[in-house]
Amino acid sequence: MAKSSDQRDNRAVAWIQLVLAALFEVAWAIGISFTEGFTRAWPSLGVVVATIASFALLARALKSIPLGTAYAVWSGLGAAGTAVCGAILLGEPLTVGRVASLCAIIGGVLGLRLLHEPSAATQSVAPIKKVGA
Amino acid sequence: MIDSLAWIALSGAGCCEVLAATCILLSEGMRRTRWLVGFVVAMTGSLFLLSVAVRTIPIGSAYAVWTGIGAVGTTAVGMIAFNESRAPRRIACLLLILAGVVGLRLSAV
Repeated sequence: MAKSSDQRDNRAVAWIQLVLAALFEVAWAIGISFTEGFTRAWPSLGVVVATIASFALLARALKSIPLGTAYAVWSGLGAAGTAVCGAILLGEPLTVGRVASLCAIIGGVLGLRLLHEPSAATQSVAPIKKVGA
Repeated sequence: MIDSLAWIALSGAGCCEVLAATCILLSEGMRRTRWLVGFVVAMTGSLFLLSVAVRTIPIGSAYAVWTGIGAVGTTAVGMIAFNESRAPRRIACLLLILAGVVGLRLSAV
């Protein structure tokens, strides 16, 4: 297989891993509502497993997707997904004030991560694979 | 009163997340054990406080506030301690997140 199509495959896999990581983020967030302060065993176990799965998938996605982009998608999808699932599954009211506030937080986080000028500190956290020409 | 305590717990959860993120930065790719232990302790504390907060606060709000405080805190630490960019547009994003957090607190049901 040609090298360039290998890289395309890697990126596609990385994006699937990133979206899955965000879904696990939503899963543990919804799950934590059922742990009653980590006093209930099964929901607590589920939260721990989903948290680890989310971090592990994010870490793998970072091998092909830059940190700022990956983190923005991960936390943005996580926050939006949790708000929507909270409304649908737990009946949390979506008032105008709440939706506007949620949009402000998500917008701010996206802005911070996507407008980020890379610095030495963040680059050392996420070594980005050089893609050959 | 109970509601105020839940918001204090949620703020604590956000601060623990900032500590955790800073520890992972200092662990140099998880190679330095002391900072790795710090990360695990801070992250455990953060999740515990979040689980206490969501007994009262809707998870849709709590998760956003938790992420928001984490993003603001780690960015502030980066600007102050690691000499990251203090561009006005980044400050504007921080203020936007803080406005959202205050908005959620005020629209709390």
